[in-house]
Amino acid sequence: MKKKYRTWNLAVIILCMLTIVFIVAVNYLVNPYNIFESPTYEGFNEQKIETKEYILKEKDLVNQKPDTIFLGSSRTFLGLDPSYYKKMVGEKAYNVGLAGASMDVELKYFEYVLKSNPKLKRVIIGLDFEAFNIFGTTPLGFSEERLSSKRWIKEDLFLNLFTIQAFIDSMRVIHENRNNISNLTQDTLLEDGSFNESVQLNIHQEMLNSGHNRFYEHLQEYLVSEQLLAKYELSNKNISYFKQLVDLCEENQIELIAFIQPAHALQWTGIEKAGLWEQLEQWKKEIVHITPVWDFSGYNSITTTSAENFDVYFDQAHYRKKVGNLILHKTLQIDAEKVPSDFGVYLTEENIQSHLYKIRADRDAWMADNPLIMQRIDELLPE
Amino acid sequence: MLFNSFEFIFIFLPVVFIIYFVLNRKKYLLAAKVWLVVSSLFFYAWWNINFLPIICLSILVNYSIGNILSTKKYTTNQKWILTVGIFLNVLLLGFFKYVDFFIVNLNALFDGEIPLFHLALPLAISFFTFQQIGYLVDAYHGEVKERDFLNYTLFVSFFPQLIAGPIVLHKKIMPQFADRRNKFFNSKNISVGIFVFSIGLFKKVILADTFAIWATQGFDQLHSLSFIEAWIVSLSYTFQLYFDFSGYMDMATGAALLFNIKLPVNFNSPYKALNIQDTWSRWHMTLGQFLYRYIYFPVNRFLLRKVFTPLHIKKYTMLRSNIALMILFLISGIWHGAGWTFVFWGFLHGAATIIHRHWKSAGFKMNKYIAWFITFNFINASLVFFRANNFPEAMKVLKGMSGWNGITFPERFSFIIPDIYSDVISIGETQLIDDVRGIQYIIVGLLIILLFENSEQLREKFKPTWYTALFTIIIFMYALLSLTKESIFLYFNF
Repeated sequence: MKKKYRTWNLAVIILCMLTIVFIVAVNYLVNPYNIFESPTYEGFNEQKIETKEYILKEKDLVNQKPDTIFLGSSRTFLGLDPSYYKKMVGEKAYNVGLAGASMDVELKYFEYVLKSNPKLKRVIIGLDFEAFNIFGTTPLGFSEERLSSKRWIKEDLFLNLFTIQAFIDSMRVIHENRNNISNLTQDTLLEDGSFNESVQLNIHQEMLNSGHNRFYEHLQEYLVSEQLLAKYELSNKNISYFKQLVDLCEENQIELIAFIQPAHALQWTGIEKAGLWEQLEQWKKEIVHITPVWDFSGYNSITTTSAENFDVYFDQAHYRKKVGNLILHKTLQIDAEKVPSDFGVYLTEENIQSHLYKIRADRDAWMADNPLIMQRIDELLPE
Repeated sequence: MLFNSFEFIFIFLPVVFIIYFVLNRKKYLLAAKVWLVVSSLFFYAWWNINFLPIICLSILVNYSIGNILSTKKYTTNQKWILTVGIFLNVLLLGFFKYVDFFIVNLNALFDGEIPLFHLALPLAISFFTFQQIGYLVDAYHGEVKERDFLNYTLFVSFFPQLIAGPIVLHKKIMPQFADRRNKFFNSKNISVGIFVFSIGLFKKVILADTFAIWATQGFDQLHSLSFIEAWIVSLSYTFQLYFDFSGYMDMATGAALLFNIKLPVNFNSPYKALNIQDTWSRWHMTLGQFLYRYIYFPVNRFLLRKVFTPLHIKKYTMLRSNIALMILFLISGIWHGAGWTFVFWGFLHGAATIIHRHWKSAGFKMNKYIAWFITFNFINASLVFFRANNFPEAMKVLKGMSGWNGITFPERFSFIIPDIYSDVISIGETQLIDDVRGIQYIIVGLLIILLFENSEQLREKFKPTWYTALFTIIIFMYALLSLTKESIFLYFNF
């Protein structure tokens, strides 16, 4: 009997160990999230599930050592195009835009680049009103510990090599590669860190076809979320993080270009409807007090384009790369005449007050001109 | 260190285990014991090393008092020494656990502004305090004797039972450590230990932690709950608590078995109980036994001698036991947490137990299924007070459960609701994340607690077959592969 127990113990322990080795090996070789440097084979693991941008971009930044980085939230991620930048300026850029990134997250990634890449010459940062909300939470996927060194942290290793989810995703990757399907394995994240527009367009077009207009639905998500617009207070801490970023650039002789993101007019109207317009203006004043910025927000020929197709915008928050290209032309003052003259104003402490008055007037005029849109927005507001 | 962590499973447990048996085998018996004590204290200090002196002090003081009591040095003052001993333990627990609660109430009562201490609660203090009070009382009665300080430290700190019990009796545990046969590697105990530990890990990681999603969201995050949401939330918590605590106990039992120590059973399918007394004889059993032994009986005796006899109402035995029972449950309530919601929870269970006693003595009988239904729903509803951070939060959940906020079903269930009820029941969006999965989990939870044997029964039946090996490997690996939790990825938040 004793022997039976001994055999049982050995069998369980050895089989558990073998399972562990097997699962880790499969997850490493298949590399479903494209975060390890394991080889790829056509028909096996060439296409990946690229949703872990917080890890992936950290690794890319070390490997690619770009001259310029684009910082910001998913608006930067979707809208700014490093390959266009390269054609324009001749220098290599990397898009560090991260979904849901608040100002402290952006600062942490910037500091990480400073440590790991002495070549860095220029930073272009897109600023979001929402990233300065005191009620904003740390975005899922972000880990401060990860940015403390270039080495892998324990949690990332366990999460991506030793979880059921990773193993299932490995199986999905193999399955989709073998059968040439791309439900999850879409080429979402390009090598330059920017988002693959065609993937995003397909998703939004399909939703529109099934009766879901992301311009309005996504605005509603903003209006009801207590981390975004349902509750808002300007965070002095995040303002000081931005100041730190500006100071660090100056100390390290890195050129900084800051701009306020051109969300769609629907978004600015939503902010007004949420009763946050004064906070928005206060935010702009505090930013300009730290450094002059380019302001693409408000009601101009780009932001007031149609919300019924995706020619210019993906939704009320995210603009397409063609808009991002205009931002680059304007802020870098290269072929600036290509850009509509009302798109982008260089804000300083001298002109900010008159500029804010102008946006208010533009807003009132636009709201008066679009009663149907107003009605639809009113329906989105939380009770 | 948590049982459900890689550090514990892959490093701490194997290292302590191997070295313990190697030392024993080489006849370094004392060294092996020292090793186990040091490892246990290390296990304790892993969370927060600042708490280490507190537990060491508590051990030292209780050991000394216990020694005085059991050697009967001062025979005339025994009672006083015991009183001082219990008082010191209660003082330590009271200071860390209840001082802020006391101040808050004092401030509210007298409009005072006494600042709070905001003390961190030393880990396991409720458990090691109770265990040692029990020891002192037993020493006073001459039922235990422990001259050896190392043994006494091991009795309190043995890592499987240190953090959350079971609350063990000295006379049940220490003879096991002293038994020479237990100092050697025992293949059978190792098999059973691995088996039970795996069940516990699965209950904690796969079941309890999943139920926690809905409980946390419903209690802590949402402002109001609709009917179906409130039921998902309250039942999720009821299952979370059971799977969490009993899973922890299984892991403790399994880990202790590796060292050939059999811990007392703490859970015996409590949700199968058919009345409230039955529930308490199946739920956190070692606490129940402790409270009966060291609170109920002494209080009962005290009432008889000092109150009922002088008042000439000795024959009212039912009344006397009812008072003692209520005191037991109120103490149990406040022991579980420093807050009026816990006291109220204790009161509810005290009241229910008293009602049940009267019911039973009147000779009433009830259909088994109805009895189960009432008992289970009572447990579930009373646990709302146990979990809620305050009374308004508890009312929020209870209001939802009663249908006060309207009865809304998620869209997926529209097919089961006949049209004629459409005035009463609406179909709409619910705020609770993944509510349909919540319902699925609750059904699975119910099936497990009602139809399956509990881990104690499985442990007794255990045979070293391929079937049990496969079962163990699958649940162990599944739990292990779910230990690292992926956050839900909200893509493109902004």
